[in-house]
Amino acid sequence: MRVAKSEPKQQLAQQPHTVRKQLQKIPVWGWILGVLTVLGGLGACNASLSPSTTGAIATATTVVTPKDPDTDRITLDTVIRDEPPSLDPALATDSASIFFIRQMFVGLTGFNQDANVIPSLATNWAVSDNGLEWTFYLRDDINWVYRNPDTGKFTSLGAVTAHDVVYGVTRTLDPRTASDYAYVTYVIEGAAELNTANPQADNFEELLAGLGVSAPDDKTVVFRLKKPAAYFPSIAGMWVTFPQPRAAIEQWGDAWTEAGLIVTNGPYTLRQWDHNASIIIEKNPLWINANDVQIELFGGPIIQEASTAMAMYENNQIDMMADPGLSPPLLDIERIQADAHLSRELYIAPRLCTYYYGFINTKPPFDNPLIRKAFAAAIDRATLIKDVIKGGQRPAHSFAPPGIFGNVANDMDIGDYLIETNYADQVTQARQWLAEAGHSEGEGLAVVLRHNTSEAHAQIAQAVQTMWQEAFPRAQVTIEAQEWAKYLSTLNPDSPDKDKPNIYRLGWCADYPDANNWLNDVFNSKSGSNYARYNNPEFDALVEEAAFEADPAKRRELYRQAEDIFINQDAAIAPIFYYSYNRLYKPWLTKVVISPVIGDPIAEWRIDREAKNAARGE
Amino acid sequence: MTAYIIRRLLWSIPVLLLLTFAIFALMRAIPGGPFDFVGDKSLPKAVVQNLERRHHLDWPLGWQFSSYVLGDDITGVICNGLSFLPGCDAVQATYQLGVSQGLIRGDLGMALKLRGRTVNDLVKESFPISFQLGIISVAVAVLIGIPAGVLAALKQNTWLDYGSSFVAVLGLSIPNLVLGPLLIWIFPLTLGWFEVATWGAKPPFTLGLFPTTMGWKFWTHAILPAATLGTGFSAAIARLTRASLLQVIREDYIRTARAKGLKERTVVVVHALRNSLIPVITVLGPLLAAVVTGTFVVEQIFGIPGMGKHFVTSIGNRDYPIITGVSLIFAVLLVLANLVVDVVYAWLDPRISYK
Repeated sequence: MRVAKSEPKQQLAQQPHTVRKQLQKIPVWGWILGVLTVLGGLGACNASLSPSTTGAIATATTVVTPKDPDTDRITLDTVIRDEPPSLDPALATDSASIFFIRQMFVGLTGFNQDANVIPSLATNWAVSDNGLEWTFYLRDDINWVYRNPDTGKFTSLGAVTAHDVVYGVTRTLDPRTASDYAYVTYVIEGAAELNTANPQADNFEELLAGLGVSAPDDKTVVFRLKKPAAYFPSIAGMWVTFPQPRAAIEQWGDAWTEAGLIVTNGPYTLRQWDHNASIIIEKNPLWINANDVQIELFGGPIIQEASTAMAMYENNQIDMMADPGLSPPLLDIERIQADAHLSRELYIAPRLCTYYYGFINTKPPFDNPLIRKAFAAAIDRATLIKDVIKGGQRPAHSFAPPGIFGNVANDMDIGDYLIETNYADQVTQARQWLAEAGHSEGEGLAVVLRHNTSEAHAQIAQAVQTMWQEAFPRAQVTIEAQEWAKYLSTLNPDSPDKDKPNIYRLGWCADYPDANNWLNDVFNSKSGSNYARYNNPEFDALVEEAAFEADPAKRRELYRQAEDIFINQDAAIAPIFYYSYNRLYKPWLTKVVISPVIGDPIAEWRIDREAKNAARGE
Repeated sequence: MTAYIIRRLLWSIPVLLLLTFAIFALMRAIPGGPFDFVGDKSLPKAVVQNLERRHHLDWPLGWQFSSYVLGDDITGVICNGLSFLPGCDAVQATYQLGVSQGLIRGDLGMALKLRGRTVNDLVKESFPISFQLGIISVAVAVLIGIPAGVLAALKQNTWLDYGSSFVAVLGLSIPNLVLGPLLIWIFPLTLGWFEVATWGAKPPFTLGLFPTTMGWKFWTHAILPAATLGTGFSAAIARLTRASLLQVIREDYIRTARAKGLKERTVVVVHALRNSLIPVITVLGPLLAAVVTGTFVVEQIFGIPGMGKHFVTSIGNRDYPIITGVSLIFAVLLVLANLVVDVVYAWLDPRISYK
C-alpha cells in the first residue's frame, strides 16, 4: 500500500481498493462533483484512441539545443500517483517507476499494444536447437544521452552496445545491488547462484564471471539458460534486463538516477525530479525516431488523492487521469458516464491482473476439491462487479487474464461452472458438490475468509459472504481483516497452516506477459508465491513442459491443459475478475496508444496543442 | 531560569534516546518486514537476504541500534575490540558498508524502500514545507481564535457570543477532509481563485526552512490548506479563550483594577487577557509541534509534499529508519515546545517561577 509506495506492484493489484478507500474518506466529493456536473462546459470532446504502428526510421542528429522557453513546448500534463521509489531499471518494482523507466530506457525487446514481444534494441534473435542459448542481434544507432541541466543541451555518449546489456544483467543479479526483481532472471545460467551468494565469499568473482550472459562483439548478446525457456524474449523486455550506463553508475552510485546525472537511451530523459513533489521528462532530440515524437515535455506534480487529481482534470490543469497518475475516482464513474462530455473522455482498458480468492489447499476442510469447487461456484461474479466493484471488470473463470500469452479467458470450457448464464445453476451445482462432500447445505463447515484491511476488499468479502450464506445456509462464514505486511507473512507457504484462514484474497499482476509468469511462477508447488499450497505433480509437469516447449501452438495447449486441471479439476483458487482500468483523456489528445504492459508509449501519442491552449484560456 | 532551561534540555536527552529505542524496537516487533513483499508478491529468501544485508537488518537488534545511534564505524570498532560479544561476526562482516553515520553525527539513516535516499534528504525537502504550512495555519488560528474568544467573553450571552459559538462548533465539527475539498470546489473550481493543489515553494529554502520568495504565487497555494487547517484550530482556541477569560474576569484583582478606575480596554488587555492565555498557550505548544511536522490529511488533499505522509506510509512500508527519524523530530519539537510553554507561563503569571 503506497499507499505508495509505495505501491510497488501492489499499487496495481490494489488499484480498485486504494481508489475506493480514498473515496470512503471523502464522501462529500460525490456531492460536490455532482454539483459540478451542472456547471458543465468542459470543452468540445472528440477523442479517438487510434491504434498505432511503430515505424522505425533512423535519423540521428548530433547535438540539439532547445531554443524556446517551456511555455512554447508541447507539453502533456498529468499527475503522478506516488513518489517513484527508484528510477533505476535494476531496482524498480512499482508501476509509477516502471512507467517512467519505459519512457527513458529501451531493452532488447519491447511489447506492442497486444502485449506481444516486438523488436526494440535487438532487431532479431535466435535460439539454439536445445533451447538453451539465446542470441540477440542489436542495432547500433541507439545512443546513450546526457542532458546538461544548466544549458538544456543533449549530448550523445556513444552507442548502446552488447556490453551495456551484459553489464545491466550482471548488475541486476549482483547481490550487492540487492534488486527485488532479480529473481525473474534466475532462468539464466549461474544467475541464482550469483544472486544468492555472499559477496564476501572467496568464489564470488568466479560466480560473477560465470553468469550466462556474454557479448562476443558490440552487436551480439548471448544468454545461456539453465533450462529452455520459450518465454525468454519476454524476459529480455523486462526493465531489469535493460542495458545500463556503466560510467554514470560507477561515478554516481545510487544517485545516478537523479535529474542532471542520469544517462538514458530511450525517447525521453529525466529533466526534473523534485522528490515527493514533481517529475518532468523531456523528449530526447537524439532519439532514432525523434522526428516522430511530438510530445516534448511530460509529467507533473505527485498527487496521491484521486479526488484532487479529478478536480485538476476538470479544471483543465491536467490532460489525463491514467498511468502514471490516478484513475478517476470510482465514486465519480456514474457521474462521468452520465455527463455528455466526460463520458466521451472515458476509456476502459484491460490490465494484466487477476483478482482471486485462494483456498489453503492443505488445510481441512478445503483439502477436499469438492468443497473448493462448491465455494468457488457460489459467487455471483456478474452481480458482484455490477453492484459492489462497479469498475466494469470482466468476470474471471481462469487464472491468467486476457492479454497474457497462453491465457484461456475466451475458452468457456475452462471454469464454466464459475460463469453460468444463470447464476441459480451455479448454486444448484455448488449445493450438490457440498452434499457429495458430506456437508449438505454447509452443515458442519466453519470457514474463515481473510482479506488485507481495506474498505474495498471488505465490501467484496461481505458480498461474497452473503452469497455463500444464501447458498449454504448451515455453513458459518467469518470475515477477518489483517494489516498488509502481517497478512502476507501469515500467508507465506512456510508459515504454519494453523495461523492461516481457509480462504484468502489476493491479486496477481504480470511481470511479463506470459502464462509462465502465472501458472508456473505462482502455483508450481515449488513456488514461494504458492500461498494456496497447491500441489499437483501433473500440473507441475505441464507448466514445466510448457516452459521448455518452443512451438507456440503446443505451449498454448499445455497451458490450456494446466488451467483445466487447476480450475476444472482441482479448483485450487476461485478467480473473481480480470482487472480493467478506467482512464480519462482530454479530447485534445488526438492519439493515445495504450499498452497492457505497464508504460504506455508517450512517444507515439499526439496532442492538439491549439485545442488544449484554447480550453485553458491561453 | 537559564539553569532551569539547561537542566530541562539535558534531561530531554535520555528521554529522546529511550523514545528512539522504543520506536526502534516496537517497529521491528510488528510482524512482517520491509522486504517481505513487492506489491502482492512475496520475494524469494535470497533476494530478501541481499536487501537485509544492505541495511544491516541481518544484525542482532542491539547492534542495529548501536549502528543507528553511534554509526557503523564506531560499532565496527567496538566489535573488532570485543569480538566475543554475541552477534559480532555479523557486524564484522558488513560494517564497512557504512550504512549509518549515527544519530550522534546527525544521520537519521537510509530509507529502506526509497533507494539511495537518506532520511535526512527526506526531512530536508519535506519538513520545511510542513513547517511553512503549519506556521501559517497556527497564525490563522491565533489571529482568528483569540479575538473571537475575547469578543465572545466580553459580550457574553449576546448574539455575538452565540454567533461565535455557533461558528466555532461548526469549525470544530467539520473535519479537514470535508472542508478541504469543499474549499477546492468553492474557490479554484467555481470562482477560479487560487490553486487546486501542490505547494508554492520548493527546495532550496532560505535558512533551510523558509521559501525564497513569498509573492502572490506562494499564497495562491498556501491560502486554502492553511485555511482548512487553521479554522479547526481557531475554533478550539476561541472556545478556550472565551472560557478562560470569563473565569479570569470574575477574579478579585480584575474588580480591583476596575475599582481603581482603569479603562475597560486596559483591564481586559493588560490584566485579564494575559492571565487567561495560560490554557491557550498550554494547548498551543504541543499543537505547534504537531502541525509543523505535517498533517497527513490536508497534505494528501492538497497534494502538498510535506512530512505528514512519512508518518503514515512508513509504518505500512515497515520503513524503520523513516518512522524512527520523523518520530524523533516530532519528539524533539514537542520537548522544545513544552519547554517554551513553561517559560512563557513564568512570563504570563508572575506567581510561577522556576529554580
